[in-house]
Amino acid sequence: MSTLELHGVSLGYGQHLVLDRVSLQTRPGEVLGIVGPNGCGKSTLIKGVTRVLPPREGRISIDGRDITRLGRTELARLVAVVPQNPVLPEAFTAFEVVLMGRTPHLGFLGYESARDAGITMHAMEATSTLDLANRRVGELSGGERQRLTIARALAQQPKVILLDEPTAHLDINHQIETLDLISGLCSRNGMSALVVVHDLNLAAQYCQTMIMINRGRIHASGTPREVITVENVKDVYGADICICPHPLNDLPAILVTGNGHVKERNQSPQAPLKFIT
Amino acid sequence: MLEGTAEQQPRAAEISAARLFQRRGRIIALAILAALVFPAVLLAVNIGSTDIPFSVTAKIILNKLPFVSFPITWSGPVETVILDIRMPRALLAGLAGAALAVAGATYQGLFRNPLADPYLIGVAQGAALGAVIGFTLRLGWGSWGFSLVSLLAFAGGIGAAFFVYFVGRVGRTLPMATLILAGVALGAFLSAITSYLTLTSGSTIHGVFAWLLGGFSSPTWTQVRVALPLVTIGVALIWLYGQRLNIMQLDEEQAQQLGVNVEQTKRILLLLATLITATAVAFGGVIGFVGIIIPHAVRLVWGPDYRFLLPLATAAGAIFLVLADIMARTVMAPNEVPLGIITAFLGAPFFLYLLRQRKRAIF
Repeated sequence: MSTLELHGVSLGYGQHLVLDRVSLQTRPGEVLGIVGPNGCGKSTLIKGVTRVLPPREGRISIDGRDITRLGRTELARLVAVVPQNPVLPEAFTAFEVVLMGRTPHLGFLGYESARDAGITMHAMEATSTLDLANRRVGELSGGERQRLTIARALAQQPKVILLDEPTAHLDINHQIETLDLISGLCSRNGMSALVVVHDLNLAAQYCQTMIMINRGRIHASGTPREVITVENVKDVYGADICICPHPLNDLPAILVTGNGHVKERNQSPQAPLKFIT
Repeated sequence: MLEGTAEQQPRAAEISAARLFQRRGRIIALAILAALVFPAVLLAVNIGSTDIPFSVTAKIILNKLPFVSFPITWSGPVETVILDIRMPRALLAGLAGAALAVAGATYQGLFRNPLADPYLIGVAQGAALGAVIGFTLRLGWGSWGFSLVSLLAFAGGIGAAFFVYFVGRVGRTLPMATLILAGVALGAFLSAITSYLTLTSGSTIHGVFAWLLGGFSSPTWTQVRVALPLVTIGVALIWLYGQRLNIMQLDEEQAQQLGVNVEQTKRILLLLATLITATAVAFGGVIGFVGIIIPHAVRLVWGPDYRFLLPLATAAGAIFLVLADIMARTVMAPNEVPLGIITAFLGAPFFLYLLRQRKRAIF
């Protein structure tokens, strides 16, 4: 059974249609990567799944339940979001901000128990933010805040986690750590993740399935090998790139060629590049 | 030794939740502040232009309790001063202080703006216009135990807030920026009318001006009977929204994604905060500074968690205004200084001192 399923979903603002009849599904334990150029509707997709933006047409369901039939709190127990540039209140401590992830699980008055604190602390441990627990959010760096919002989403204990460019503010070490964490959590807990990624190389390494969106429509979907091709990248991004297999796992890796820096092939001592198409 | 800073991550199991929650200090502070409200009121009842010994004050009040009867050694007027003038006045000041502080904290939280105060969306300007109309029509006292000025001020405040709400609404949502702009614009318009009426009001200009600066110069028990339920219920209901206000310090989209019904929360909190503000203004005039400074002072000392901030601000606001009102009555006795002057004159330096002490982010 799929955890998240979109069936012919259209989303838009006013007159402007952003996503046009998109269908996709995630399986438990899977990381689904959404790629596409700026403004293609990736972030709008996240607004649709969390019902911030009601769909024009189509059906969105989680665990087989139509999200329009769920209450806000119920939905928040199933879906957590890691936004791209979240506003975090500066005077709150890191612990308090992650603890906010427990909100949909609390009673009417909204007081957390020791159990909620335990779940929060484990989420912070997993994202290496526990040593920041008593620091004010205003004192933290962009990358630390990013990891806090990921911890908050984990504390929410959702079935589906939606991440809007979770690695945008992170250094390469924390990019790897974060994506390792997310894919590990998915495979262990049967959670599924829908990740909007700009870095196609990271996407290829971490996503079992990828969807490439262009102008509000799905341009390609399937395994990284099927989606990341020279033609697709040319069609969707308008960029000329080389693709070669990753030396350790044969997944597609993109090489960018700088302006005019092409060696004359006959002078090159290396073996000719192998292209995957 | 710099080795392994990355590996020195603490483990979840080794950290006590109690230390991270930081609740104990806040609960103790709340208990102490709540307990201090009573001595503050007692002090206000005891101090005044007529010198009454504290033992007499205590006996007069205790005699009102069932099964207590001290022999009466004081004159009738003394009892009247204590029970019918100073007591309702102290209670009104406490209620208004609590209401303004909680409303201020609520508006600051809703608008995510540290400059927000209870008068942001036109309640004060609407109430002022209502009051000035009351003064210029020379309606004086109604037959209900409070003046028509109070009634018109209350209606003006509520009316202005509703007008701003309906103008500021966009479809079924309520963008906070639009609401502030509508509030500022309506406030300017109403103030223009108020100023004109004040200038042309002739002999009543002194009364109007004093009212605009705030104060409780003609307290009655009926005023307390009206204000008490409105403020108590309004404040208590706002307390219930503490956690939702915390979540709304994230942006609205995140709050929705954490399961908070943002639009409903905004509507309910605006309604409750407006109601208690209009009540405070109706009986106390436009007392400035309490609504903006008390919530910040509480934040500076006990942190930004609204579940504690709101009750702490309630008690702190009540104590502050009761004490400020003692000053208003006594510094120039037998003349009164408008309460708004005292709150700003005493409150501002104290707040600047607090601000100087803590330099980290408070909001």
